[in-house]
Amino acid sequence: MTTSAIRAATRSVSSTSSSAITLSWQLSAVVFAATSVIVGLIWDISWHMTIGRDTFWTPAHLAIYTGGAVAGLASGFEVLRRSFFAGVRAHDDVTIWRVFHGPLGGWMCIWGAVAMVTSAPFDDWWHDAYGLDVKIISPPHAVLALGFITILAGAVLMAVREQTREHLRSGHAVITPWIVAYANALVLVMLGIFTTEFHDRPLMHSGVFYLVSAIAFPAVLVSATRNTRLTWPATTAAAMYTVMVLVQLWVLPLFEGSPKLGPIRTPVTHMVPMDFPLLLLPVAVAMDVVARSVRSRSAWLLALAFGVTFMVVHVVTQWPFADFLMSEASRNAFFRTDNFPYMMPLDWPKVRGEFIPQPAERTLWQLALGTVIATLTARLGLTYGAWLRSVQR
Amino acid sequence: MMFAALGRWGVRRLASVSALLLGWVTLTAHVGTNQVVLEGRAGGYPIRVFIDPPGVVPAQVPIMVRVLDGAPTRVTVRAAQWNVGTRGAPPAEDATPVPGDPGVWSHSLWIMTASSYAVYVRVEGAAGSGEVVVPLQTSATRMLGMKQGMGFMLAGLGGLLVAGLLTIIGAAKREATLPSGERPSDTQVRGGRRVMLVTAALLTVVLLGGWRWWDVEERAYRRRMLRPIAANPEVRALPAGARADGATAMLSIAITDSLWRTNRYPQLLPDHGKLMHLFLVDATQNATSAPATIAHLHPLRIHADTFVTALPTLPAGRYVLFGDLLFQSGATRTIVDTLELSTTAPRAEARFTASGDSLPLLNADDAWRTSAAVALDANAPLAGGGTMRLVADGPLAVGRDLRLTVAVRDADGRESMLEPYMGMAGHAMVMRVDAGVFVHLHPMGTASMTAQAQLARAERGDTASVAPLEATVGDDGRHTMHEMAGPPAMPAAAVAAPAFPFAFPAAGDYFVFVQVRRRGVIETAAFRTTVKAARADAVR
Repeated sequence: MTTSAIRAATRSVSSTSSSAITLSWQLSAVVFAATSVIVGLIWDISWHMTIGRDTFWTPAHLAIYTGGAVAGLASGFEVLRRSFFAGVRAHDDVTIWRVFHGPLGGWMCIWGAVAMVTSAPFDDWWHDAYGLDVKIISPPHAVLALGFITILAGAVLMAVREQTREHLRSGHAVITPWIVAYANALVLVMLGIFTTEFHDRPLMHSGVFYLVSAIAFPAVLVSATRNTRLTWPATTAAAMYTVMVLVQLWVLPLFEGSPKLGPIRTPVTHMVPMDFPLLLLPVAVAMDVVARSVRSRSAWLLALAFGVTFMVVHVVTQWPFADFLMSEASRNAFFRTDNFPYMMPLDWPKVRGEFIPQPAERTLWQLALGTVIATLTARLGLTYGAWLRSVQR
Repeated sequence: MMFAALGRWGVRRLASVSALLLGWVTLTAHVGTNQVVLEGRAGGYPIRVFIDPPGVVPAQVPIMVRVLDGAPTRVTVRAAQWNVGTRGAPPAEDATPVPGDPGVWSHSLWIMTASSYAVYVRVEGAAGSGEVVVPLQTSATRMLGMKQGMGFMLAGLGGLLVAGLLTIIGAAKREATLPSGERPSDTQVRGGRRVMLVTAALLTVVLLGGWRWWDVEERAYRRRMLRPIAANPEVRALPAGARADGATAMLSIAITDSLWRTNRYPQLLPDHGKLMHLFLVDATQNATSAPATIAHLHPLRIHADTFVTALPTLPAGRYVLFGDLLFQSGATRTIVDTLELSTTAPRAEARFTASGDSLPLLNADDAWRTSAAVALDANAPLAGGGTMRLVADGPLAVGRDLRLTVAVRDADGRESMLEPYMGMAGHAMVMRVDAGVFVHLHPMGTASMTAQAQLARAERGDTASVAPLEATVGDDGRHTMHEMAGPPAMPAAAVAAPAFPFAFPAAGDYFVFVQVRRRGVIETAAFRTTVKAARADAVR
């Protein structure tokens, strides 16, 4: 080994160990930001189901925007520090436009923050032009959502980067895998929020419920089995997801709230939470079992095993559980299936405890299609998870 | 067809009508404005309510309450959708006094759907608490373009986002998995570029999809915008045997609107006894000194889709037609079209086939007149002798609520004794000379009293939708609406001269036509005034 090579290697190691401290700070900021965004989202949804009207300055909105600001500013600060004030470059980050250096996750957070900032004047103009929001999904809201999705992706990237570095430093990672699992859980919560409309209780005996699950969840769960250095990685993420959704289910109704918008079709006196969590936990356990027990050189065969397992376990657990959720037995403080938003008419299936009927052949067809889609998204998760596991910058 | 019906009394539908009208017909409840100005008594407090919906739905709708006398301690407002009532309405919200404008309270209410609402304005204080119901209809009436600056800013930020995303994804492929200290190889650099290209292609598809989505949303919004009820007015000669009151022609208005013909509108309600209030205004008399013609007629509904009336003898010219309709929901809509009356008789003759066919007649409440329009504060000579004067109690500025007060004098200079005209002291029609604004005003304000009574009745749970209603006029010229217990009451002997609360919604030159009944004869006077563009102050 030449002297210069030794010097370079020494510099690399010392810069890695010195940046470990600063990056921990940045990782904490980004994970806090991602949490703030998710808390804000849940709060905002509850706000709209309970109170109905809002302003820019509701605590829920502030939580979402605080998340964007913290993620963007912390990452921006780190990029400026590394690009202009860090002395000799360590080449342990990602370079953008030849001048700016920063961790990949930080770049994602900066992009997400800029997207959120862009959505604000766009949304304002949209309200002036077409009225206040009739529906949640509008082009400016899509830009906003893209912003915080990217911030969540940034949090995952930051976490796996730290995990890889911790592993490289000490031969095993102790703390960072839990942060990776937590970031994965935040992504699961976000996906749960985005798919709420299709995961409504009356649809739990319809094919579309499982079809949408197949689109949303396998990629993240399978990716978790690859990107998290824990024994039960997907299970841990799903357990964290379940706890987070349960906490909002139990905490929000402790606060009083009533509608400020008409027409009011269901009387509401306390904050309405989102529904009981989906049974992703047994699905995740099965995914971990498959990841540990199925050995195949073909990624497609492995994806097929994941896809089929996902669909079978999801259907055999969620379907009968739905019967319980529709029953009177679940209308209590634990399951809270008697909470309805103020605008829901009292004769709707959800209030009456009825499933939306669907012909059996249509359901079977959708379940079959869902299995194919779950296989495809599992395949995506395998590639994405493996790539995440190798991220070092 | 109308094009065939040319003649001395002939009528021709203008080929350019749609283009001409497009600018204003999309703005309606009245025409060109959704504003509501209404005076009433809430407990011990006379108040004037001014609601100025922003023209998009959903929106926050500002409600302004001017207390005309007294100092209340609390003012609340509450909006209830007509078919849900207060049981499904959010609680009343407190209005706050407007700084620097004594007696004025304001608050904005959230209105989420295009519909009819009852706005409950409650005033509390030592003089006695009470409530006034204000009919309000909300609809999307305007589209906002994007200002250039905003467009550039969004395009700039969008460009930054696209460039940033491509670069980040390229860099992720190139460098993210490299060990610390290692520089990307040429293969990795090329790999990064390939990924950027693929991402650019995907992003193009996504952006095109987003653009299309925006387009779909905009078209959906346009579909939700209030559009006029399509109708086809036609004039035909009356056969000799069917003529009455000296009329030689009849006007029929056939509603061709597909929503109407498929019963998608609520039931029609008679507004002060008439299913349609039809106004024909000569739109060609733009010169200040030229005489203006207005006819206020009440067509008979002879069929679900058709209204007919005899047509009085009017000077030749191009007329704008406004047909006011009131629905059970409390919503009012105006049919707008143009007619060209010429001096030759219409070629097409009305046919009455069945002996039971109703002959189109003029009735005692129909009135028309051609007269020179005078300025506000000036004396307009009346056909039956004497004069009418119209005075505004404040400067005429866009968005400023005011009261237009009428004074009628006999030929000997003494104040005229007026009688109720269709249940009230007078009617006023405000039209901008380009017909971009048209409002039928009552002494209570711009709202329909029947709509007000209907909303109050629906709130009680009364389903007798078209029970006869009657307005009574107090000594002070104010009106109250109640259901008739028996046959229609005889007109009160005398009423005070009317005053019309109003706010001009837009700048321009306006005609104000005022009609009152004196000694059994309906007197019409025309006034003309200019409203300045400057908005005096936000809520005044």
